Amino acid sequence: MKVILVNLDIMMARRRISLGELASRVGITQANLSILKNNKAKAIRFSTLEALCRELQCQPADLLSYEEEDSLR
Amino acid sequence: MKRTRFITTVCMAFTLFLIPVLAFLAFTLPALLERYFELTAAYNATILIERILIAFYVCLPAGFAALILLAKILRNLQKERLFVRQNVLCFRWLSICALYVGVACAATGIVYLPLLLIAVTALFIGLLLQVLVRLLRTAREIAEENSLTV
Repeated sequence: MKVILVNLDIMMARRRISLGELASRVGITQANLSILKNNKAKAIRFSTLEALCRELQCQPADLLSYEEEDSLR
Repeated sequence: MKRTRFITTVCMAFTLFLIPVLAFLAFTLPALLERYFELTAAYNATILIERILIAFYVCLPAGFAALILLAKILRNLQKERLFVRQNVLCFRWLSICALYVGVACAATGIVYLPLLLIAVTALFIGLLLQVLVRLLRTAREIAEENSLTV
C-alpha cells in the first residue's frame, strides 16, 4: 500500500540542523516535529509545510514522497 | 472553564453521595415501603410492595454500575480527558444499564403503572446515550486526527 512519507531526516542531515533548532525556527514543538519525522502524523498544515520549506530551503516535493509503505522499515 | 470545573465537581460529589444512598436503600427499602403504604392506606399494599421490591433489586446492580461509570466519566472530565476511549466505553455501558433497567421495569411493571413509566424513561435515556456514544466515537476520531496534525 502506498503512503505519503516525510523525508524530513534527509533534509535535516543535508542542512545540518538539529530537531530542536528546526522546531524552534518553524514554531512547533519538538514533539510534534518528531511525530512528523517518524511518519506518525495524520495531517500537516500548509503553514507548517511553508515554514519547513523556508527553513530547509527546499521544495515540498523534497520533503514529501508517495511510496510503498514497506520502505518505512 | 472555572464554572465547568465547579459543575463537574458538584456532579462528582452528588454521584459519590448517591452510591451510599443506594446501598442504604438496598437494606432499608422493604421497611420504608411498608411504612409508606401503611401511612397512605393503599389498596393491595403487599402486592405493590412486592412488585416494587422485585423491580428495585433486579435493577440495583445496574444502578451501582451506572453510578460507578458516571464517577469514572466525571473523573476524566476533571482531568480534562474528554474524547478518550474510556469515556466512550463508559457511556456505552451506561446506555446498556439504562436499557436493562427499562426492560426490567417493563417486565415487572406490567401491573403497576409507575414502573412502566420508569421503564419508558429508562429506555429513552438508553436510546439517548446510544446516540451520544456514536457522537463521542466520531469526536474521538476527529480529536485523535487533530492531535496528530502538525
